[in-house]
Amino acid sequence: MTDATVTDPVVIAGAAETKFARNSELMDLEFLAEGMRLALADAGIGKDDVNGLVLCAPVIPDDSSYMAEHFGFGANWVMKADYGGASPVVGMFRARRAIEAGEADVVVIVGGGNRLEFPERQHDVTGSPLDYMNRSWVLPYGYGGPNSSFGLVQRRHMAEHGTTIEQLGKVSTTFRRHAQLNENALLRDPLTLEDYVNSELISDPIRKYDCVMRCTGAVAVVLTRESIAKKSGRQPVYLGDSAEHHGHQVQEGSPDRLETGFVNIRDKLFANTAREDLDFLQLYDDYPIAILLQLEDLGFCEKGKGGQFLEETDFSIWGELPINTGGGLLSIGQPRLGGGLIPVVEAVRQLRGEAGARQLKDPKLGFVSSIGLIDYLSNLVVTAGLIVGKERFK
Amino acid sequence: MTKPMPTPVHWDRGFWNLAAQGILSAQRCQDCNHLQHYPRPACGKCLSPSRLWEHLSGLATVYSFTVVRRPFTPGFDDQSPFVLLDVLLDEGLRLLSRLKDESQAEGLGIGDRLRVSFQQIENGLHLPYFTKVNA
Repeated sequence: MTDATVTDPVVIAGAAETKFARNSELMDLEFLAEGMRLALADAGIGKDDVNGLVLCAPVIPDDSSYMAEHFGFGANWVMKADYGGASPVVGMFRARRAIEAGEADVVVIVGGGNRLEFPERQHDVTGSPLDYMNRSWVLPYGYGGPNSSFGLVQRRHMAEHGTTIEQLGKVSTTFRRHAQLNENALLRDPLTLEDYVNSELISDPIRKYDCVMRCTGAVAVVLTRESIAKKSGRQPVYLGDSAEHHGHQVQEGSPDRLETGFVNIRDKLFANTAREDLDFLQLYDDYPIAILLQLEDLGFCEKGKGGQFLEETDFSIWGELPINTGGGLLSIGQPRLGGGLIPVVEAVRQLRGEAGARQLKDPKLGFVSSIGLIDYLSNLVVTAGLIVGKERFK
Repeated sequence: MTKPMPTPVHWDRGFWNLAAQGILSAQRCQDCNHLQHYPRPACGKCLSPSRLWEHLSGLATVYSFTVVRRPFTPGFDDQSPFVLLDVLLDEGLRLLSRLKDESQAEGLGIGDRLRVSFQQIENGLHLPYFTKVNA
């Protein structure tokens, strides 16, 4: 590490969400612009001070330079991140290193959009591996989308480890209680375990309240050096260890449906920060079973004991290990690729003490996870994690 | 609404040619012996382009399954609910498939024995479906 990474580390200077909505007339790029405007305002940094961009939108063709042009940025460093739901968080990792390397000074990372439908699968099939896989090996059999993939994973976990619907339901009901204290969450009606268990089956054993709800909106964060961030008088949020993994078990003919890439990065993530020192976890949660797999593979409990861990742990904001204190994507909504930043925004709010009615008591350290894309035969293609803190990391 | 159909490409034509003869196959690398499905443009272990289409037994077990009630794929609404199978072939490979006869969905369980049974679709290709068989 260069001296500057220690004496003037890269921090999160600003973070913001647009209003989320089920439907909207705004187009993808309008949402991204609004997300960036709000995050810069939160950071107290002017648009013309930005010289780096990470753009995460399901826009085809991918053209990051032209998207920057549309928004009126003259930039030194621009990239489009395309790591599924993990796009913006992995984009943050890239931006942090670019700033450390001196390629940029202020980088805005933004994700989101409007379209509720996935992009048309009209690519040349040899040019897009994801479209090729779906078109020739998944969709012809009929497929329920991610609901089906997680249905296959969850059934296998229940069969191998005795995990119960009630244990998983506690994730949805607990996050809903958090969402009732978050004005930007779209799902705020009370949700009981009975409601959860009796909700419509979508792709057995996945039921309605297991499924994340897609929505419109954008989320953005601003990264810069501590010295620049502090000029605005806003409290910076510090970045600790981070790690990512792509393509876990990809060479296996029969990969384990239940093991995620987090097993490859957990030692690195928690090398300098003990799990028990964390004041909260903000985990990407498109399904409760995804939360369970993360807790197991990040080492918060033994493999196979995730259900029991959920049952025995109070992971509400009033408990010993608060998880997804803003309600998670499960209750907030999933604004396209901006969803990956929802855990980051909530971490920033908690560490700054700006979380209002759901504020934890003086949290100092947190963990953020990100996951992206669903594999043909295992589960998550991309897994990523990041430690964040209120104070400088040594 | 038209169902999505596979589009054969250079590296998977062998699979579709054999499927038309009722044979399930997978890419066997001629350099490192790695066996893989679904077909890829090169060997996932050593990147070799050298492959043969190994004939598989077509025998398998249920690794997991889900009952799709809200199809995400156009053209399948009239078929739902239907079972999507996570199939473990006896050769140690997995693939996604369907039951050929949906009446076998009743009482289906992980570990049930399966045998491949091809079904021709509109564009002439033969998709590997599976039939439950007695152990």
